[in-house]
Amino acid sequence: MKFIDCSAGVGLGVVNSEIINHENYYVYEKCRQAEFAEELLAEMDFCGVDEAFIYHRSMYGSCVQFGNEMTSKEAAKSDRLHPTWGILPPITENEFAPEVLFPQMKENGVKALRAFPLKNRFFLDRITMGDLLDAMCEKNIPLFLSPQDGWELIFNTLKEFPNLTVIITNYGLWGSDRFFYPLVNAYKNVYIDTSDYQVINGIVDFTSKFGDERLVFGSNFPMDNHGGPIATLYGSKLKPESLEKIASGNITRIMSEVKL
Amino acid sequence: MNMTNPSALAKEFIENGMLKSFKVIDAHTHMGRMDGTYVSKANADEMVEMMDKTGIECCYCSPHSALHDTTIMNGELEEAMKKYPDRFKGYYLFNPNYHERYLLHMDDILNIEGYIGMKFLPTYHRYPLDGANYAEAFEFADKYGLVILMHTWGNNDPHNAPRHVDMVASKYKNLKVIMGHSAPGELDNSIEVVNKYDNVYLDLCDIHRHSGIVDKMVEKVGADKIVYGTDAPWYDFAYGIGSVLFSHISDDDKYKILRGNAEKLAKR
Repeated sequence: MKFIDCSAGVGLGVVNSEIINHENYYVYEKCRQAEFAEELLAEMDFCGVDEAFIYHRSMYGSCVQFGNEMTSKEAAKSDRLHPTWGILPPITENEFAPEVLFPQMKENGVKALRAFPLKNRFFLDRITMGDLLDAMCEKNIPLFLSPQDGWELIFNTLKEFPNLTVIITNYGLWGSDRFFYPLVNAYKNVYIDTSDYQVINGIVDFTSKFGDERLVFGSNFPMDNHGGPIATLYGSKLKPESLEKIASGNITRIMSEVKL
Repeated sequence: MNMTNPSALAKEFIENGMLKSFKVIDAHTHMGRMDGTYVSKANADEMVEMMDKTGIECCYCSPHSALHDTTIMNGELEEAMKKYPDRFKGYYLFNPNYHERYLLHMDDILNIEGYIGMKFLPTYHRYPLDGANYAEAFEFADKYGLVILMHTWGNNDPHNAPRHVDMVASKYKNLKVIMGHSAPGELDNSIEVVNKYDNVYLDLCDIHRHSGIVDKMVEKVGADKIVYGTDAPWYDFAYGIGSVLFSHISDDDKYKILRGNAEKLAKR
């Protein structure tokens, strides 16, 4: 079965590692990181993961622009790695205005974006990000969001941008179904990265309610390992067609709908 | 693509959605619904259904009702052990805030089929492992060579950090300590304590999910001192199994972690 990891990190974290146990609750433990793409690829080979959408950890630990550069540099080493970039408010950093950003994305093979609003001290709302998020909706560009600073941010963003494609990632150890079920139910373009979907029978229960097209396989490496999410998927014993959609089909479809 | 992981056990899991070579023993589980998380399978019957699905032979268990309700105490566990004697073994929850009540029934551990030891939850009970109210329970466990699954946490936790386990283990040599979660945030300190004492073990519960943790544990303490635990029904059995099967250790070591060590620990 083909596996495409929707979200993995390369680079060394400033702190190894800041791990989300659940929203607003961090644990700092030393994980095995992949400083460079080669190390991530070796781990992907070991676990049978074909491709990955990656970010460089300096995007969060240092600054978005530097992290974007580093992401592209590492992703350029293999056609199995696909870069994702972070965004900032265009009103302060004009390079994130859609008319500037999107051609850059196209040139660099970037099809998905990430935002860390609280870390970078801005609101992911219409006042601050309206033009960019509207344009992302129009172009079907997915935005990776983590509720590490609270779920309200994601709820509020989607209230204002209901057509935005959002992949929820890095949501921590505790089961988060009470948060993301309502989002998946209310917004047709919300997807859940399976990397943190550890709750017992979670994938089976989710698919029985929302079908098999709203989950995307992810590792959230290095906060998580690859093996846990892979085994959880096989252990769900869903029918093969569903497993294939979650393992690679859904993320392939989402990215194929991006119009840059 | 084909994985380069040479593990026959990993391949077996991929083919079957469970292990076929042997049944797994989960040394750290609970039972029942709880406040923080929605779980679709939680009571004893549902847990057995999930265990069957994932190839789990037995759960060493302390239900949420025991952890957090001092009236029912260990009643739900005892019912489950009676109904499923081969599927659930028990940790007698001891709440030090009501220690007299728990001491009164302590002999149940010896008299009721299925008990293998005790469960301590110091952080949640806001009572330190080295506090006086735990003393009699430790002495009892030491006298009979019981297993104690104790919640441990890092970040300089005032109730159950590795330093507390160190103090306990230096005094009690006959009981067997499983450091629940292996004190995330202070894994290095947990490793130090486990290497210092023959009767202290690391637990994979929760911490297994991070990249490289299983490899590190095996490298630092050896596979004989690590048990597989999941916190089920908080978490799916398969996730933790995957963390082990896709680690860079031998299948022999995987067997010890997923079954062998827990099996030995439960023998008195």
